[in-house]
Amino acid sequence: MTEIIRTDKLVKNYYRNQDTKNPDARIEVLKGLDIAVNEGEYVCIMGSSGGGKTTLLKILGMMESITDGKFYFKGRDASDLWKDELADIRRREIGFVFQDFYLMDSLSVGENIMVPMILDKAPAAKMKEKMYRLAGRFGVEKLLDKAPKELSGGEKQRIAICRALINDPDVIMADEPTGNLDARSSRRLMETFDEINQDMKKNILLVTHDPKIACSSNKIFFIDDGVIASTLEKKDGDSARFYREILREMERMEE
Amino acid sequence: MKRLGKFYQMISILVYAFISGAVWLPWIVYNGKSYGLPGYIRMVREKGGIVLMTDGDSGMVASYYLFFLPLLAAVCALVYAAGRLAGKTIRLAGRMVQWCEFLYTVTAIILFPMVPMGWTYLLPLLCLAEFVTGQYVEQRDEILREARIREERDRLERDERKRRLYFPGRYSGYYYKMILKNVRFHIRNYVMLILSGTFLMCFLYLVFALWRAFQSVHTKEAIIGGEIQGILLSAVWIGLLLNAVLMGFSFSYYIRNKMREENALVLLGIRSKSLTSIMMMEYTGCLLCSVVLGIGLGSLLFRIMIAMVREKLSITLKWLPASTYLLMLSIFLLAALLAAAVNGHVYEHMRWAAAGVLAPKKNRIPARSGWIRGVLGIILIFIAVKGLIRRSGGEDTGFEGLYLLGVYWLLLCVMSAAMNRLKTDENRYYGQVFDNLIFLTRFRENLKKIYMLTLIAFFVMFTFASVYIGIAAAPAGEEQYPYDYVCAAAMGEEEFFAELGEDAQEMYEYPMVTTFTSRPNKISVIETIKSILTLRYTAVSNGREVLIDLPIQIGIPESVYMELKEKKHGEKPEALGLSGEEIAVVYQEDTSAKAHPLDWLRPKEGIHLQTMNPDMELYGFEAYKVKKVQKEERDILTGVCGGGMWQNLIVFSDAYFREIDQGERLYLLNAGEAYDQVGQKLTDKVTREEAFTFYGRRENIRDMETERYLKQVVWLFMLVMTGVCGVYLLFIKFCFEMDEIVERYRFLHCMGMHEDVLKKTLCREMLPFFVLPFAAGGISAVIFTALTFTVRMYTGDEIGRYLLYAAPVWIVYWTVQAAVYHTIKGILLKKVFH
Repeated sequence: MTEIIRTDKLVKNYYRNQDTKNPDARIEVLKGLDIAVNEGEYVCIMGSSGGGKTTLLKILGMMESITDGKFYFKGRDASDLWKDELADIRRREIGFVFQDFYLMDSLSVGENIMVPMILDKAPAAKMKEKMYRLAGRFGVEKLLDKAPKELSGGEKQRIAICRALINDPDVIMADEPTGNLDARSSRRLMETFDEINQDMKKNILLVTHDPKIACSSNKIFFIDDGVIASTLEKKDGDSARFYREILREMERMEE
Repeated sequence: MKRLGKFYQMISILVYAFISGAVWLPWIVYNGKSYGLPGYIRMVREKGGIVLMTDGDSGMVASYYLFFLPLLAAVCALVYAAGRLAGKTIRLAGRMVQWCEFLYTVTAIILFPMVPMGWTYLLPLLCLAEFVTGQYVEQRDEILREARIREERDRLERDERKRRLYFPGRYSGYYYKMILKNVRFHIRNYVMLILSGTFLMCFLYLVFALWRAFQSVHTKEAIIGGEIQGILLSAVWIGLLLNAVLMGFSFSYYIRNKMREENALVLLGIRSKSLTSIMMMEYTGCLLCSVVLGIGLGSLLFRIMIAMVREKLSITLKWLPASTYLLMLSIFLLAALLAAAVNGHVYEHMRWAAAGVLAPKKNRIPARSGWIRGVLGIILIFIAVKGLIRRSGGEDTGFEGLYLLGVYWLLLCVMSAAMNRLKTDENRYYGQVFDNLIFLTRFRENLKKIYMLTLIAFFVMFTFASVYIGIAAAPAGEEQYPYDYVCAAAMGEEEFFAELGEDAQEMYEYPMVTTFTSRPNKISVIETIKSILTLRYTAVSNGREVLIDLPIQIGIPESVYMELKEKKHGEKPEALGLSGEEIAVVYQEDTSAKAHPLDWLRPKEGIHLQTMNPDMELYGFEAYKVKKVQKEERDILTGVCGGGMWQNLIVFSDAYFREIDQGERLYLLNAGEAYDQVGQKLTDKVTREEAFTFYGRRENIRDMETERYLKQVVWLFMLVMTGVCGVYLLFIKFCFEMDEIVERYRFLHCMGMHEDVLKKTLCREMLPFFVLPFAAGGISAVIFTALTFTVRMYTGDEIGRYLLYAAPVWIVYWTVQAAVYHTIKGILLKKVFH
């Protein structure tokens, strides 16, 4: 299987007030982390608060640079890429879904879905055609002329998914996508992710605290104190067993 | 390479041979005769040594011993050149030559007395050139190889970059629609930015246009006119800074509001160039709108203003030349760049904070250091107030600066003491924690905002208002000139004036003596630094200015003073009873002008006056005689000259005046209908012979009126802009924190806080931003206004007139502030409860 993402002893430090010369100001977030995600995988990243999950997702999403180590995206070393190349990858090869939705209030729902294609200089007719297709598929076609403010949390998240998929990316990255949703909306969202992974053959990389949400993935990386503490894989599609294993692992980590 | 090496070797031998032989060339000029180095040393020896020859002049002795350095260099150069000829490189000798020449040149420049001839400075340059060439020849191959490799690498990288970043096609119409929709949605961000820019452009247009219009009616004489140039310059600088602050506020508001959208676009993969161009387009668009609106508004206001004074001053309207527009645009762009630069850190801060990198700033409430600063603050306030009361430095803005720094430290002390006291008592702390939460968690940040509001209140109520109101309340120009012509002439002009007296209606002749006082200026500072660097202390007398811009006063005996007083007021005044070194000063100042001290450096108990030719000052400090001011008053007995800077009256006792009298005469003429004729005669005479100085009433009144008008326009604008800054600061402070405040109060409401308690808590949280600036800024402005009355020696009537104009300005400012405060409070409460 083709490797989509691989990290090799990934290190990420932050410096308080950008004081890079002062070792006391250094905050070590990732301390030599190794993960690999293969084509078609649905991967979840779990771990304690402040463990570095979101930072890892930002690095994998080309939004943050790394301090040390290596990060390969589809075989390309990210540190060799220029700023605009990173932007191109974010636009064409990665789709983002966030807890806060990140919808632009000034645009209508339909335009929000089209933004990645607008930025990719796509022809207007193609954009519209794709936008309607995705909206139809995710049941938001009636919302297209509305403003984001008029939508519920679940609706906003579905719009964000449409936007993430419009450029036909290889990977969908989601950071706590159910954080602002009720149980019903969360369940629907997870079904959508399953669909995207199985029918559309997209990789999904999900950061969550919720074991129920994590259960829908095939593979889980547990991060603790900046390194991968353990990895779990779903065997034979048995979700119930996988859920128990997740709970056990979470308990073990808390100890 | 070999050819180049040989060529270099030949050049090197020639250079060092030249250095070696140069000591025989004319090196020094002593007593009109030039010497080579060996010749000079021989001559010194013949005269019994350098100490004997120069009477132990330390500079000369040091210079003499320095000449051994080039001698040593010559010997080493000879060794080096010989070695080169023999095919050997004696590096030590070469380095010795370079160091000796370098050291010699540097020390010869410092030890000024024995200056070598100019061509000797060529020697270290030759050494340097030879050294650099040698280095180049040695490393040439390597340098070229590296350059080739670098060039090839750059080329490959450029090609690769082009290939990888190839992004063909054009953005669809949706892209521009997206930008436009975004602009429309966030229009209020741009409105504030456009408004602040419009303010600046309108202000610049008005100032430059008025300046140009008034040029046609303003006299050109440096001593009387020339003031409008100064007003223009100060207006441009202060306006520029003030607007940069205003634009800075608007820009920071704009950036903060843009951040969320920008982050979304970055996340969705917008290219940095596109993002930058969007922001640039928006900022440039706003600036362009500001320029157009500002020029339009400015020209409208200009026409209205000119229409008001056109008949009185007979002004002809002139179009502004293209160069003035360019200058205005340059100043405008400078302000815009300043605003962008100041906000660069806000932008960075937002980005880093968004990435979760920035740790919250430490909130330290000063304890002991707060008290120390409080004491220092009181000392500064005391110094500033005392300095102004004594009029020693006139209305020096330095005192304002000291006072305002003192106020900051005092505010910091009071606020930190209040917070620390609150923290020590648990019951009080928990009772008032929500009222004082913003100070307990972000003490310095909020204190700075309170201080900014205090400063703004002070500027509006005093600094800018005092100029504007001072002019509005000042008596008309006609009252400031009792005579048509005032002439100060040296001895020997009696005949001319006797003849002139026949044309004039009336003429008075009094004995006078030109009196100089001194004031420091930039030139004296530069002179002082130069004198220290060149070790020539005698050139400047105690850092005082030498000849430039000395304020010239008129010295008269007491009897003349009594006569002039009687003429002006109709009754004989009480005798001053001056004796010896005592003097009385009559400040002939316009009430709207700043009070000037007689001596800018000395207190009035011992001011320095010079009653002779200013050239005498060059011969030493003694030229200034110490005088004691027995009495001071403000009265216009002959006329206001240079806004009160010149021709103040210094009254000496009759006996002392006889000692210093050099036959100078003060002529006061009332020409009546022959005004122009007398003026022409005076002008002709002065142009021909420069025999005396004079000024005319009508020209001075016109100058005063144009200056006053320009000043009023300028300072009214400053006043309004500062007021807007105050409102804007209050607005920005609460708008930026609105979400956080609303969230906090909603939470408190949810937790069961009663509505009225919640309202009171919010009110108490916001109140310091209104009450403290009102108290600190308002009281300070009142103190300074009272001090200004004292310094300018205002009468009761003048104070009443000033307050009549000041009261509306003060009331309007605080009413607007209160209205903004209540509006913001209303918005916050509305957001909390809905």
